[in-house]
Amino acid sequence: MTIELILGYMSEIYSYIIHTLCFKKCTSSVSNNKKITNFLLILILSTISMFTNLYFNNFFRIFCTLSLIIIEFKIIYKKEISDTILITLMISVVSIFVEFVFAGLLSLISSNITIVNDNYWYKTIITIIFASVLYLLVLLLHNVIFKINNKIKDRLNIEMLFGIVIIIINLFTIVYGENYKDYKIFFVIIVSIISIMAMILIILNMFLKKQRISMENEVLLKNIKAYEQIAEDYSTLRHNLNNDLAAIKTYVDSDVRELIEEKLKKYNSEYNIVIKMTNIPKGLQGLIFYKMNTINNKNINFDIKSTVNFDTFNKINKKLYSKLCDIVGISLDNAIEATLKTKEKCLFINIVQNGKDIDIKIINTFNDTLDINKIGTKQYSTKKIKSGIGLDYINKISDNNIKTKKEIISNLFIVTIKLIISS
Amino acid sequence: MTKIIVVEDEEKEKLKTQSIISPFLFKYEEPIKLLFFNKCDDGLLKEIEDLSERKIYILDICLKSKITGINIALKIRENDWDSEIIFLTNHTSYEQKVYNNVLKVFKFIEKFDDMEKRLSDCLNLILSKKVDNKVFKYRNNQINLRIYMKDILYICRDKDERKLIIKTTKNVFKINMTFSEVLKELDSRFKKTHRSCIVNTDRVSRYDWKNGKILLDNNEEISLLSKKYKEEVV
Repeated sequence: MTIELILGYMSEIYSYIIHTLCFKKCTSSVSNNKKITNFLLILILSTISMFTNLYFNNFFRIFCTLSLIIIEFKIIYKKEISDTILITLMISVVSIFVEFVFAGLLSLISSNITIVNDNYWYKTIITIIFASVLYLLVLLLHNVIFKINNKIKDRLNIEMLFGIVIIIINLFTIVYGENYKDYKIFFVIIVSIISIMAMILIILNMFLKKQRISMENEVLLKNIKAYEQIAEDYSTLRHNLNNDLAAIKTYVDSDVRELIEEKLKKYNSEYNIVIKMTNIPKGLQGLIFYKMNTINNKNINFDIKSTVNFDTFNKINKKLYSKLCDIVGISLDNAIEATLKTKEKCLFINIVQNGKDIDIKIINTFNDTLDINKIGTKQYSTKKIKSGIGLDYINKISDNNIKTKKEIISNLFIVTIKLIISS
Repeated sequence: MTKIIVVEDEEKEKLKTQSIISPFLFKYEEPIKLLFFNKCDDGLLKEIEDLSERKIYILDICLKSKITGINIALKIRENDWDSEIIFLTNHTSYEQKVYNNVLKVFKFIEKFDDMEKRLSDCLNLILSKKVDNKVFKYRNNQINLRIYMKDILYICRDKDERKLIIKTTKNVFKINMTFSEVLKELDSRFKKTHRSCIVNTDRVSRYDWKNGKILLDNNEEISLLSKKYKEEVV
């Protein structure tokens, strides 16, 4: 019994040392503690681990072992707790994999597995070999573990994922005990581990991709905010400049007045419609920017006004907002197409709050032949390349939350899109 | 009664505008009331919503409050396309062309460019009823149609479909109505010249009774003139 305890204790110590070296390799960390301190810590934790192995059931032992290892790494290497937990979990998964491969091979090659199970010398030697193999495998995989740890920002999901894997695998261990048994069981478990790990890698890949996009969006948003501030400052400057020049105009003779007028036109023609778009929420803003290319190229006289608070748009659910953008997009396309046929080429968008609801009005000049009773019906179109699905589609997707209204006032076509938020 | 509603927040400008408008208050037979607002408040909104009286809005584009003259004009045009809007501005801008068209602004007047004469001319034009804003209205489930009667050239029958074609200065509209129904909606300037044509007599340059043709003021010629309707037209 004493020899068994000593052998068990020594294999625990060795196991802890190997795990410590694995952690060091995966994080390229250096311990600032004295070596004797670290060794004493390992001795204490090995003692606790031995105690739990002897007197507690399998399931509790698993959590105990993991917790002790995490505590050990935290004290020795003093890294962030989230880093420590994630790397510990990753090393544990590799360790479990090694254990089962090893156990399976052992069951395969051993003619009498009972001898191995009953002999503590054999078990100790196997444990030492297994730990050494673990270290060799971690040497191969340490770059992968290092990269995964550095790339993942949101740890919780991944840690939970690895945690679940370890729990599932250890449940197998509980069922089949510690002793080496029929090799087929171990190979089934190995296949399960590989499948689970493959799924984890796929999920991880998706997760990292999403994170990358999220980071890019964050940077983009920061840049947009900075740009909007610049645009606002420019707008104030321009406004003041216009007013000052207008005031100066009153004190000068007509020649100078003409010159000032020219300057005013010059500054105003270079006025960027983009500045007016700072109030428009991002989805609609992007849509309008996209149409700006056509608007500018075709010399359409365009203006936009919005007095709606940003926060109001943030309250709308994404599906509804997407539908709104669809309808605005189609209406804008129709408006651009129609106004191009006119001499005036005027297009105006007004976004205004109407109680809790939002009204988006698109007004354009038009010069065309219209069958009033066929507008909005399928396949009726005034376009050269007739499609006739635009207004019909709008009618179909309009519902209790989005209503559209069309009016013609003389040569103006007005589409009012009402977004009902109050319901 | 006609209301002249001025929205101006600068006291000096307000006094100047008042001095320009005051002579008009008793110049015409029709009673005229002058109202001043310095921002878009409940009083102004109440006036905007009241469509019972004819109004002339004189709006300063640059108001100190968040709601500018343009916002007020947009509010007016939500339901009222009959009232006239005159903008007072410090300087011309590229947006004027857009607003001239989409808000049917009567005039943009620069405050520092002969404002007194230009505003007086506008008011004379509007108040002497030389401005005609009568509209023809039609609506169905899909759309509301309002056409200024002064823009309508003629109305004729579509040969292929049982519809009326309303030809205006800039557009052509097809509607489901009969001649008798449409005549009820129009005023006395519209006369039937043919069994399938009603013409806006104010837009006719010449009647060619011999050849049965009408020459309109946009140089368009239509062959829908019948001697049967000569008495009515002349």
